[in-house]
Amino acid sequence: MALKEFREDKQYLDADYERLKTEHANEFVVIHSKQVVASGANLETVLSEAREKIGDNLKHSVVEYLGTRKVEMVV
Amino acid sequence: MIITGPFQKGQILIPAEIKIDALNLDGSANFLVDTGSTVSFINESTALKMGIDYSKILYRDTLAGIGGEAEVYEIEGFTRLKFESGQDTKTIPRKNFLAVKHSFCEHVREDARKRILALGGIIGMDMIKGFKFTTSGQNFTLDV
Repeated sequence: MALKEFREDKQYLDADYERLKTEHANEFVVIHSKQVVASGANLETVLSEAREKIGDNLKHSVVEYLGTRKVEMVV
Repeated sequence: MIITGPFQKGQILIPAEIKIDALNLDGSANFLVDTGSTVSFINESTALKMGIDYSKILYRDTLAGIGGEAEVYEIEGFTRLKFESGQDTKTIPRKNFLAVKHSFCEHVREDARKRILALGGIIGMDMIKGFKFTTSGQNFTLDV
């Protein structure tokens, strides 16, 4: 069930990516139940804020960085 | 179990549920399938959201990558990765799975650091070599 919800939240992010990237440009976002529950520039601060709002559900939420600069990833 | 899908922004991302026996923690994350990585690991954003305390797991080594180094920590016991495809699920137990904490070189730009931090995890060659992995056009097939 947790993985199903995680996949649904990821689908929500992918489907609305451009709008969310405009609203939360260069920010980390935490998505839970198809809503952005926390956002900001510092990952640890954003996760703390999200934990206050959604508690233990954070561990199955989607965490993404919505950067506006095109970066090719080589990891 | 066969997982298929399209590339996402040029990447292959596989969602998985994570259960760590020894720490009694669980969570979900997207794992980047990365044939350039020799090892698989849970990345920093996932570790933080799951509540992994790096001071309570074993520091093992330093991992070298493009953009800097990362501290590699070993999670004692079994970490179980559950994958789904349609109605099928498959759980793969991995002993002494790794968690990573990044330290970036000064020249790495802020947005690149943040993109790397936000990666959920990596499925590297230590796991891929046990799978059957093919790509065709914009789609991948991973037989786990």
